[in-house]
Amino acid sequence: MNDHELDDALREAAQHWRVPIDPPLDAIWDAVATEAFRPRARRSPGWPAVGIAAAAALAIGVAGGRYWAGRATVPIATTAAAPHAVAATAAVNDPSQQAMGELLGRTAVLLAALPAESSAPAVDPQLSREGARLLTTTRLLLDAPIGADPRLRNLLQDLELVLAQVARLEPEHRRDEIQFIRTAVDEHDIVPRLRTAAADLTHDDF
Amino acid sequence: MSPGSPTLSGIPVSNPARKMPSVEIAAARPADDREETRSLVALAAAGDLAAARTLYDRHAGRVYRLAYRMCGDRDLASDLTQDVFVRVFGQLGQFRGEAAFTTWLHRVAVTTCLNTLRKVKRFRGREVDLEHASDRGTGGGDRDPVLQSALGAAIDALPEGLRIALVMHTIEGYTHAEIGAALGIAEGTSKSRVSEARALLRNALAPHGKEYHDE
Repeated sequence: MNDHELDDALREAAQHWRVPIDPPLDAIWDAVATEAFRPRARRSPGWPAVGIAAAAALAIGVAGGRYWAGRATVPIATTAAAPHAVAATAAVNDPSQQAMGELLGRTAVLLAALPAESSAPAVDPQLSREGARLLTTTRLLLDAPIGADPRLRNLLQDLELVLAQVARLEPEHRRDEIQFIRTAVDEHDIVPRLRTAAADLTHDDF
Repeated sequence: MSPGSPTLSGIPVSNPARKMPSVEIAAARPADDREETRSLVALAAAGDLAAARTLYDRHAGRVYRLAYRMCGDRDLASDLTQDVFVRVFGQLGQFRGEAAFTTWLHRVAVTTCLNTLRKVKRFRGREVDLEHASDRGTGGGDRDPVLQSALGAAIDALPEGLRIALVMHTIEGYTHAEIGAALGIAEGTSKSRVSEARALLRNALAPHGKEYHDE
């Protein structure tokens, strides 16, 4: 085949080889518009964010555990020689402080377990039951002496609002309810404050 | 005819598709059109759907046609076109205008096509059948269908770098400058790839030369 023949064949190919018939450009546009320009819904936290939240919950739990373990293993025999340890042991025995540590850890876990998408079809009933239990604890602590600390009181009041919403979640919740909870958690910086409060509790700052 | 227009050994290519407004070569557009494109890009980047649609209408036909020529499958060409524009619109905020929008768009298009086709090599088996269907559907022209079929198979058998250059230049009418920009190669490299592709096609179609000539 010479150049002239090849040119003729290629010219034919340009006009007849794989020429798309009636390309579905409108349908493609619909898909493009949906995918590229859909409303910028709040992005799902996804697995990395859930992992971070779980890690934060774990850190809070570990911090609380260290706090209680450290306090509880103070040998009684040394208390006479170390008066400050007596005070520490007394702190361990403060049920409200103990409940506070547990509340912080369990609330962090609960918030990490919230469905990632507002469109999630159903909520595990255990989630709302746990929310109700933590809500009760929160209200008790608000009325306890530990709830008089301004920083803790503020956090407990915000937790009360969030946990009340979680406690009211029905398995077939409205689409926007999870979104309301997440917005409240974000706007009030609940998770970072939980973490800070747990760290402060460990260092006995309250 | 501009100096950069595609030719077959000096013969101007008569490609009816190139007469469509959406396939005009960007370099040939007047400056005010380029300015308008810049405005449309800025608006689309800000989420203006109408501006995005205008950009899409201008370029989608050409992108789709290139994808279809490369893969020979209507659904895959649709998916490729969709992927290209989703990527382009998703990255408009990062488009700083160093290159012409069209150049950038076609770079994304070529990269998307080649990457996807590498992943779906199994499509090659289907392409031959689809290619026959396509040829019949468009009337087939005056030439020997056996030769056209052999030509299609020979084009598909070309190494990827040569095939994309040949299809873009000889079949779709891109200039070597556009191909160079889209593939990230020098203009001269594009020319040599097309030349090499033609040499391979001549060899592959040698048995058909006499039949073709005798018609």
